[in-house]
Amino acid sequence: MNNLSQILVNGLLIGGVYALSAIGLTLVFGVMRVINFAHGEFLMLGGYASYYLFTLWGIDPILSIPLTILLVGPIGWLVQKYLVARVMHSNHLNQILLTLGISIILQNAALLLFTGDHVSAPVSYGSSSVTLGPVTVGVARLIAFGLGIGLSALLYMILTKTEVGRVLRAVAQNDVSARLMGINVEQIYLLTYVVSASLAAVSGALTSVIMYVHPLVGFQFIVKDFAIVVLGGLGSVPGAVLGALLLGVVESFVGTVVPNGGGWAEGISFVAIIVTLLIRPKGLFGVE
Amino acid sequence: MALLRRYAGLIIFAVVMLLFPFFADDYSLHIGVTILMAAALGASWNLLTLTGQLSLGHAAFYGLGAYTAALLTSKLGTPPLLAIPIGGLVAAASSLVIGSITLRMRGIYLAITTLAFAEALRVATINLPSITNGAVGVTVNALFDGEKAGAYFVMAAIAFLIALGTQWIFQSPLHFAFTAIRENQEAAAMLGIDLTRYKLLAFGLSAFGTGLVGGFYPYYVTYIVPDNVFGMHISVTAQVYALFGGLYTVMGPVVGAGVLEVMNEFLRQHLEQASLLVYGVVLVATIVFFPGGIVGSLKQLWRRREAKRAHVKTTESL
Amino acid sequence: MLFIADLCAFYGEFQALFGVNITVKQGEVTSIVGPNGAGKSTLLRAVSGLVRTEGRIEFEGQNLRKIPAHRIVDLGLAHVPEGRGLFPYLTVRENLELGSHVPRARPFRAKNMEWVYHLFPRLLERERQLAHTLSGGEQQMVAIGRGLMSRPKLLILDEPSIGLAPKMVSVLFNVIEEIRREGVTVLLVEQNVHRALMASESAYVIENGAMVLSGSGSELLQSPQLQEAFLGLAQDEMR
Repeated sequence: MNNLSQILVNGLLIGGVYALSAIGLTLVFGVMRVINFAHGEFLMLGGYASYYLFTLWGIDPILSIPLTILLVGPIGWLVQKYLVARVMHSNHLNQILLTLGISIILQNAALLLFTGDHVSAPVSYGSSSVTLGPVTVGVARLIAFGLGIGLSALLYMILTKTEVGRVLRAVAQNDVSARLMGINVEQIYLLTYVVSASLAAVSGALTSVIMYVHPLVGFQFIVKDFAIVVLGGLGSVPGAVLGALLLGVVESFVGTVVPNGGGWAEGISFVAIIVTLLIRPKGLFGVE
Repeated sequence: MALLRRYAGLIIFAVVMLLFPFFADDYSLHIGVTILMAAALGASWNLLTLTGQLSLGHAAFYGLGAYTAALLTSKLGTPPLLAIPIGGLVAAASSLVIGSITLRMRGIYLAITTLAFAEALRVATINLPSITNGAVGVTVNALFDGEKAGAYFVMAAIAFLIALGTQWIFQSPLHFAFTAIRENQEAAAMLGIDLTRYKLLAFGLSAFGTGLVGGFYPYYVTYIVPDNVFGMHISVTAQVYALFGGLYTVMGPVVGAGVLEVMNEFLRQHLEQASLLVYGVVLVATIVFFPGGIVGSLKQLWRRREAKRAHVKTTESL
Repeated sequence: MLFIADLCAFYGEFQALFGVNITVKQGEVTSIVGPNGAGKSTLLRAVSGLVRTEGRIEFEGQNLRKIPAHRIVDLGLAHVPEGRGLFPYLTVRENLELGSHVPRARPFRAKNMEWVYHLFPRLLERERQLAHTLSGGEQQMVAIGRGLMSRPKLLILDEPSIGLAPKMVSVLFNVIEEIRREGVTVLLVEQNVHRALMASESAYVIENGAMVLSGSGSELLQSPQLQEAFLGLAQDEMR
């Protein structure tokens, strides 16, 4: 029984980190109708930013999150302004191939700059843990989870309660009408893309603390992100959070219960995608 | 005359392919094989894309072809020239399964599912060592004891078969059905086009071609591992060649493969690690500046010139 | 107030308007009528900067063709699009609020909302409902209300009566009259030729992307050419 609750908690904790990145992906899809294959690379860049801030200047990865955003956000801005904006009215194929190309560029630029080694930020609290009743959790993971869920909730509040959130949802639902309301739609796309890249970067910073990053880490995460947004319904923010927690838990179970199960993680994503699309193409949680 | 013009691309391709080995050393032959593999991959992917079905997981079919062939040879001693087509058939069979699951999916959903499918196969291959040797991979003997020209002609035959098949489809009623499905699925269904049948047919043919190339691969390099044949780079490569050369054209993928592979080889020698970076830049630049690819852009240029000429004629006659 | 001259409009290579001239005078209701596909909606989209154009479009002396779509609203021009163009998963209130997104209207959001709820009391009852759950008539009210939320000098309505029950159509034209009395100039595109011309001071008839007739609403109503052009439509309305 103890073991079961431990598995559950482990899964939920990692799900909190997945949530941030998945929300970024679903946001860009919801507002811009673009599937951003370069999304994982912003996670990778965020991971490296926080790793270098830590090893070069000793700034704690959690505290350096604003700096990480300041470093990665502008890259997102450039990518949207000069590349993705040009295919906004193009077909899905061109959009996918363009973002795939951007992903290849960023991956290989990272390989040249950072080499292919796995790196992680060895924070002092990295190995400390707390015991809460039957379960033991790492402090770093707990902080990462708290930040992941906290930021997701903050974003949800902004989307539902503020003028800019209303504007974002309006553009998502009808971009032509949004223009007629005097909304600068291109600017909203830019904002969305930068926010999305920043969320991925924060997720990457957390990843550099609780796991590791390397130039191709983005690809691992994007497959998970896809599974999550399909589970939660493409374009839905609450759906992405629930999907992330669910995927985290399932991965945790398979990883513990199935022999050698850790190696099957990407396989789980595939099964999640297929099963969801077959039973409920709009996502498991039925949010619009 | 019209017939000759229609087949011109294909004939030039065949002649160049046949004459090339007589002027080539082993290194050039190797580049030739690489180009042919790339062309065949791009052309196979293009076949599926004709129906508007966007696959990001052709590595699945490539890997299945490669593993089927390599395992048949290493475990049962099946001769390569038999194992390669079996690899193609296994890939085609798997495509019918994934194709029928994704039948009703559109655009991005299909793209995501196929991508995850290839990833799942990669993971399964690593995690089932009793069947696949796991991450260690499979070793086979080289075709014709490593005689480069022999391998070249086998690959040339595969590439020509795929190009010929594509040309045949472009002239058959299939082309109309595929295009109709791509342009407007609902309208196509109302015209009485059997969506299930044609979508699966495209999937099967495309996967068969991809599986053949995958089947050929282990005998060329003598050694395969899961990351190599199921990796995302295979799926991307297939798309890039087709896109760069020109989507929905017969010779586009072949031209794209020729240009890009030569460029790639040049970059590899001069830039080493940075070559993939430049590759990404080419992909991005193509989409931003030439969304029709090389062949597509040339065709458009040609059409514009023709239109201009026609315009001049009519104004002159006035 | 709005002056359009030699206006051509294009969708890609396709030309939809061929030299249209229209003048909208302040304080009036002006209507544009014509058969389906004549280019009426295109004309309105051209004014709002949504299609590529050639020619002249001036609003209070400013060249609209030089101003990006999202700035045009801020000049005091609101466009209620064909098919209403609501944000389906936002509430009625949120839809209205977005109508006053532009800087010019933002400070008067509460006041304008009061005005809209006064014009359409039904919307106050439905305030918290998602727009897509409303009836067609209610949705049209939201669309017009959303346009009015920017306190426009010129309100552009694209086929507001389409798909509405006859009773709702009467309500709608009463509201248009009331809006005009409050000092808002109205440019109206309609399929319901008879009602539109009755409500208008001036009117234009468009066919195949070009202007064929113009005059006061009552003149056009009696014009034999119009009778001929719209015989089919008029009969439809009789039914």
